[in-house]
Amino acid sequence: MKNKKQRQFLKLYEPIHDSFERFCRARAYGDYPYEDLINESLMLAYSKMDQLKKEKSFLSFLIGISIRLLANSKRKAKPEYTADEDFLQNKAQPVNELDQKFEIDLLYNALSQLSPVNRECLILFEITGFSIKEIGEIQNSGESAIKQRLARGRKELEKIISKEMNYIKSER
Amino acid sequence: MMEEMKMLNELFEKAKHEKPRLSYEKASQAFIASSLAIGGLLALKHLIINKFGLNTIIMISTSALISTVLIVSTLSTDIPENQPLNSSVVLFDSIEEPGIDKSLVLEESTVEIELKEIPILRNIINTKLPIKSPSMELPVQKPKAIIGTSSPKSNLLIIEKNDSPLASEPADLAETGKSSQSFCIKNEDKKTELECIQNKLEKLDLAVKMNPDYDKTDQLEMLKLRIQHENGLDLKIKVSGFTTFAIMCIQDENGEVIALKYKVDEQDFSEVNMYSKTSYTYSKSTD
Repeated sequence: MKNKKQRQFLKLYEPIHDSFERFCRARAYGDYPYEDLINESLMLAYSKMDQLKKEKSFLSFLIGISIRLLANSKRKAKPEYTADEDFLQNKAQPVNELDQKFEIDLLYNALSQLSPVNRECLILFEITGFSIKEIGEIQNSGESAIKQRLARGRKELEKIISKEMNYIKSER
Repeated sequence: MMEEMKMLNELFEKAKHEKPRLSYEKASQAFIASSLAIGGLLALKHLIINKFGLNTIIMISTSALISTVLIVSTLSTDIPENQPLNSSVVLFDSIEEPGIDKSLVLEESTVEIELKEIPILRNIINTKLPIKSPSMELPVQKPKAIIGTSSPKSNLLIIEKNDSPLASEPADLAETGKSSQSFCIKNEDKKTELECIQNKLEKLDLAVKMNPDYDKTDQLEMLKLRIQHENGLDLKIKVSGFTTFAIMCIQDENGEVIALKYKVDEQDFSEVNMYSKTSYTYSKSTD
């Protein structure tokens, strides 16, 4: 009985795992271990499945749970792996993949310097691929507010990224 | 600016299509493991509630709580080392032997004493304790009430004779095997009475030296006392201006002295073991 319920839940989760994993990794970067966030969100979602109205909105449901978990959490994340650490641990990784990981970590690091609301907004829009309306529902805000957050977030992010890139260029 | 925008779009694009670092298999395994652990606890909770029922749980937990309180209160009745004995509440029936004027003869008999303790946490105890006293003759003294002190923290029972320079014989308690002898020196005691106490103390394997000083009215002005024991006890006492000075010898079940207590007037008892080297001075102006 219980196994059947679990199987159903995991079946529902499988197609959205990649998106949810990316959201959690980007959002929890520097704040919380993303693996734990995924697991805890899944546990909580499993116990509150009766609150899910549509199966289509399961990803929004999970993201809402993970956002609340992060807001209530005072735990600090372990330092994230950097590309260099990955390189030391796994020398067989292709150079292209390492470069990409490094760049993505750079982006996540820049995102972690934004305010939580702007950060969430940008991640949901740019990485998870949610529409402005969907983000408005998750954040309980109107579309214009979301648009404003996206614009401000991007502006801030551009500044941070350009600073970091200039620093990297000067180091090279 | 355009370049940065372009770069940011590229980065977002890469992040959007990046392979997940935590695979679905690993995530689902972690989820199943966690839900098993939590499910186990939930199952145990359901089992307890269904099997035993709420009433049984309440009954068991209440009885466990009561027994814990009882055990704790029983354990706490041990007397701490530094606890003065007179801090306890004393309620004893007084016993008088009518018809004896010149000497008090305590026949070997069983005296029933009703002992009551007051502290809130302890129940009122109503114990009948048999006390065996050997025959003993005391100097001419009108018999007065025997006052017993009991410590609520132990079953130690001390019998003091209020008015006599010679105090009681040991009052054995069948429950603990501990006993005590108390000696009370008053400022009006004469040398013979002091010698009598000295002899009694020496019978308890204590080496006693007494050096009394009397004033013009023939009252004890100052008393120097030194009590030694082969275990190393060396208690030097110098008291002046006192009304009563009490010494209490605590004995074990073999009758050996294991501790001494002493006090002046209404002060608290001080206690020494048989290994301590202590000096005690008390001085009070008699003006």
